[in-house]
Amino acid sequence: MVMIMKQIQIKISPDGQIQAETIGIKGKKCMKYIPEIERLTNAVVIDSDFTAEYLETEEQVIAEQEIMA
Amino acid sequence: MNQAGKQNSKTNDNLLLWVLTFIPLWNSLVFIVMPKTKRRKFETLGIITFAIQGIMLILILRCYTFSSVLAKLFFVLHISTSDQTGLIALFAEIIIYFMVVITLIVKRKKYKKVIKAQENHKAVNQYIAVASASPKPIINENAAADVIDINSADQEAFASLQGLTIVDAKKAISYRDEHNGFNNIDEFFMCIGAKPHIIVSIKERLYVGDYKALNVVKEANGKRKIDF
Repeated sequence: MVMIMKQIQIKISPDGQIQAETIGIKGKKCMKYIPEIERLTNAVVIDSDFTAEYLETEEQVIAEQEIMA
Repeated sequence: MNQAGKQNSKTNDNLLLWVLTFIPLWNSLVFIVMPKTKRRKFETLGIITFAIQGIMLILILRCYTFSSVLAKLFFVLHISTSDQTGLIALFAEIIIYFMVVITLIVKRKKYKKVIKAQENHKAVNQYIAVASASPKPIINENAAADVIDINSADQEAFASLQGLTIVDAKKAISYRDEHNGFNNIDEFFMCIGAKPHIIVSIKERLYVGDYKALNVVKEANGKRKIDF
């Protein structure tokens, strides 16, 4: 199973506009990073949108245990 | 000047020309091999070296004006048979000299762009470092601390929420009346199509209470009054 690394991608353009995107963070968890991004960039969010990952669920890795017969 | 003196002078000139030929070659290697970030330091040195080279070239040809330099070159060409090595060194020197000067000019222009990009990158890094050091988060703060029941709030209460308009308020109330209330806050946000940053800023001010249908105003003829 391939684990996708969770990332927050922040792009700052020369005119000062900031674009941020969460990658690999599924479901509602992504929204809790909005205040963190605002704090990190010392900016206020003026627009946002959901990505396809918002509707996805995180894969749960279940440890496999071999049952000895 | 006697014949022996002239021969010595020419030998010395040839030697100097060969030595000078290697200087632009060395400079070229330095600029090609060196990483772009360190080239700047050597640029000034390279320019000074070329300036000295140019002066020494003129002194060797023993002329001080451009037209006399050209005349000397043509004269050397004309009587080249006895002095071929010196001539080869001279031409190699001149060709390499101009090639490296042109390369230097072109590379300097490209290098300026690299330096500018690096300075921008450095400025951005400094900005982020300053922002990260700030402990106080800059987030939207709601004016009123009152909590709103999404199953009983009126239009004004909904519209008072940051980021929500009167249209959103009407949409929410219409949906609530059709479905006999909201089951959870997510349903409320979904019906108004709230954006993520709006959800984060107002979520703490909302709760789900018991649904109470608002009184509907009816006219005398029994028709419902529609408020657009």
